[in-house]
Amino acid sequence: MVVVNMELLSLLIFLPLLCGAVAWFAEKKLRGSGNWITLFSLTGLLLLSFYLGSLGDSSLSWSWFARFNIHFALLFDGLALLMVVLTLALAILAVAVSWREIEQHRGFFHFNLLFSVAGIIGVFLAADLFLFFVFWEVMLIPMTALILIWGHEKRRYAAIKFFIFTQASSLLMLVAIIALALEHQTQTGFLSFSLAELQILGFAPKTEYWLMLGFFIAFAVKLPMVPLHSWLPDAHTQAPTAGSVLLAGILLKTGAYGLIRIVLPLFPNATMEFAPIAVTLGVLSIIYGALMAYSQTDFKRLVAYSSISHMGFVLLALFSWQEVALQGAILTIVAHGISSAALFSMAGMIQHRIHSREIGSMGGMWASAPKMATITLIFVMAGIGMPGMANFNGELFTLLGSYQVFPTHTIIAALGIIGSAVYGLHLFQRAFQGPTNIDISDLRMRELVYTSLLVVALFYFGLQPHIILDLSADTLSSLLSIAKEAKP
Amino acid sequence: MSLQELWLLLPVLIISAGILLVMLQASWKRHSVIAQGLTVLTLVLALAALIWQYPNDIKTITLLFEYEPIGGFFSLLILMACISVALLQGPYMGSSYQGNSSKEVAEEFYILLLLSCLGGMLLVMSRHVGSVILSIELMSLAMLAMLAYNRERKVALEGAMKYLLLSGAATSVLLMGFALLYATSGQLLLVDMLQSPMGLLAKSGFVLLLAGLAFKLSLVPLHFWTPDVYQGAPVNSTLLLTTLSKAAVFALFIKLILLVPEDFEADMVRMLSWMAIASMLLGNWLALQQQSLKRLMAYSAIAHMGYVLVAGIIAMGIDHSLVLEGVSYYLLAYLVASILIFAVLSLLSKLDDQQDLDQLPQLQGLFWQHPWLASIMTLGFLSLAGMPITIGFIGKFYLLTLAVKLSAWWLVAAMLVGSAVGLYYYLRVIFTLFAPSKNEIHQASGAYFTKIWIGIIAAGLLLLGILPGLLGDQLRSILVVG
Repeated sequence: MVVVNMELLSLLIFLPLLCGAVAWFAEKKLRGSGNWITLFSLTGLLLLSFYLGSLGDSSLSWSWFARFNIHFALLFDGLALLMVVLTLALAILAVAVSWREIEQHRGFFHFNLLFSVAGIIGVFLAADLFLFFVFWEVMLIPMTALILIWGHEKRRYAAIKFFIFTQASSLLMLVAIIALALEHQTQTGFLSFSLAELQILGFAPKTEYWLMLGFFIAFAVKLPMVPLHSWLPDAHTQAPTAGSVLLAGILLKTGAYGLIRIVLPLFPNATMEFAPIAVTLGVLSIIYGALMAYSQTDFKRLVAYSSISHMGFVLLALFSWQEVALQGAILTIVAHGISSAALFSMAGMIQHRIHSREIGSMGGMWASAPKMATITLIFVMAGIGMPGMANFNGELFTLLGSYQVFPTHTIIAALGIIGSAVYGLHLFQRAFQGPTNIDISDLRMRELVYTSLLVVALFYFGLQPHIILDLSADTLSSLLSIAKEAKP
Repeated sequence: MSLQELWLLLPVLIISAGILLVMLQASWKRHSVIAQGLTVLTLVLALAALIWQYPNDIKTITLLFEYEPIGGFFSLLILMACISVALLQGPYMGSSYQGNSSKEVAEEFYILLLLSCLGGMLLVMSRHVGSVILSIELMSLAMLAMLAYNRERKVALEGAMKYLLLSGAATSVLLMGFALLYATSGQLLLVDMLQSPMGLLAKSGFVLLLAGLAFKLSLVPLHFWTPDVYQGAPVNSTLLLTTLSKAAVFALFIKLILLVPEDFEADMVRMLSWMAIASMLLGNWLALQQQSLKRLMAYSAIAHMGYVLVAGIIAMGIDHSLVLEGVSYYLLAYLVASILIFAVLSLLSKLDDQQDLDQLPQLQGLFWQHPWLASIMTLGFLSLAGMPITIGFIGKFYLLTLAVKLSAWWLVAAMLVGSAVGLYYYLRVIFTLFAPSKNEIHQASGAYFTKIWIGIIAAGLLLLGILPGLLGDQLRSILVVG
């Protein structure tokens, strides 16, 4: 633990808020300045998180609400660093894709963007469950605003659905958090919301199961898992491109992160008991997502359903409690973050040009936009899980690991990969090949820069997955040791 | 009565003096700004006096009143609500500086406001049947006149008439309850009355008594008057009704609940649990499709009173200190949010118009025209919905903690379902504020003091939501003796 950077750590949360407010006011005075301020502050935060990461693990704890022994406690370890960097990188992508796309209320847009970044980073850093819950809810508000104000035709419906699904499910989590703290009081004599202190508790099996379910449902809605997924296609489709990038790239990952950080370590016995159900639902998500994706005619909706399919792999991996599978989950989280964000930004670029997301109104775009087609093909290939790209490692590890525990489930899940090849290629074929249906302008310089960066990232993490694995090694090994204790 | 007792009554005396002063002023020279100034001054002085000699133990003042911490805290809430109404009434009636003052007289409203405030403050200090009846009626009758303050609005008169009849009926139920309790115990002090052994007659008396109070709190099934009265009344009177009378009556309610004898507890828990569950579910459910914001707030009030009642039920079970803290924090949160929401409506409405600005479509796009007002309203609704970083979340957290602690899972379930349903209609309002604007909305010009005050309350909503420890860590010492 390093002492010097204690306060710096909280800056990761407060700086985005501050910069957001600055961007809002600056945009009012000088049109276009908001973009630059947001970009610079995100880059600065990225550097800050690298600096903090280079100092090793760090943590912080301020007394916050003494009556209930609640602390403003943050923990910054390898996994948190990984997620924070992913968040900031994708937020930069979100700024880049919306550089010209946003025409109304631009200052307020940047404020909301940075506000949601602050909330998401808070979720990744929180080491106190009360604080975790606060961030968990707070990140919803700006995200809902992004969908509601800058979204597409059915934005109101999508925003309300998104908000109510996530809020209602997180109420269960709040009850579970409170029950957990009270359980700590009965066992040790004082209330505690600290994640580390709660890990030492032992529960009666039934209590543990109910508590676990409270958390699990909240995270499963966010993940999302079939049958709690129905908010996602609407929210992703109606959100502006930046919103879709953040939603698919990071927000879904908070669900997986919650499972890794809270559900698995706090309730190892209950999760093992629950694993068959969770894994079945995960496989169901994989197959259902793939089938639904295939039948979509809306570019963004298709990518949205493919997200459901991919997050099913994460669920499958996490609940099989195998080292290889857990590594696969982490790899999938990162890889899907990048590849789905990439596909959504591509969908945004196409929509900006032809004012439609219908795949039927595309077709033969390769002829007029060869660069765009090539890069889209790479993104689609990454989504399919082509060897050499990031997603492949994640899915391979997941299947390898979970086969040892749930062979039947894994075999069915593997069919999902075939499904993803079908819908991915189907999408590409309908949009870019075939008779020329529509002329479209090719990628501009700015767009080419950030899409190529995404391509590089996909290949880089595909060929060098150990960077991600090294960062998350500590978290995973502690999970595995918990698992060993829990297993009879 | 000794001099020291008089001294303890200082806040109440200040308000009484203020009433006389405004009356004299109205008979000498009618001027709405002076009346408003005097009223605000009176209330602020009373607030200062209350804070200055905030009670930290129980002192009785004559037979009728007692001066103790719970009453002190609720008096603070009452004064906060009254100051808000007094400040809002000026712009609502149209300032006389701009030459467009209202057709209705202005001064009487302030007198009524002070009378109602006096009633509320006396009610929370009461320890005797006589003082309870007197102060509850003082509060309600003054309120009645305020509900019908615009005599040209038919809905206002209709609402006031309903309130008069039903409130009269509720008061007689209350009186009947007291009569039965007196008949069996022979005591008129609340403590003695409830601590003497209870037969069936006394128990039914207690139930009647609670029913009378539940009417004022608009708990299901005694809620039917609420939406009509809320919608009909001028917006500031509605604000007063939803803040002052709820807070004052609940203070009495919780005191009575804490006195319930043990052998009667199980029955009371059952009865009140049903009321709470029904209020939470029905209130939220009926609010779903409302287009009128005042009606929406009426149903939301029903639901929120259901939530606080949960704490009241738990009060009979355990840990009185935490219950009191929970109730106080929740009511504070509810009051703050209501004040903010009604304040925005009030700043957008005029007393002389046939209708207040009240329909949801009229508010469409408020954020793009008046960002501050819309932000304040958004904060208010987020707080009612219990979103974190607002004070409402902390209130909800307290109540959930209490309910989980007692393993009252039915209540927890009703709270969760109620909150989830509630989200929808709160969100609907917020979304309307952020929709593209359709028509121009005029807000009251000037009124800087009012706006600063509203700003302070909004800042408090955020501050106590972000740093709940500021108040939460102190509440125990504020509310509990010793």
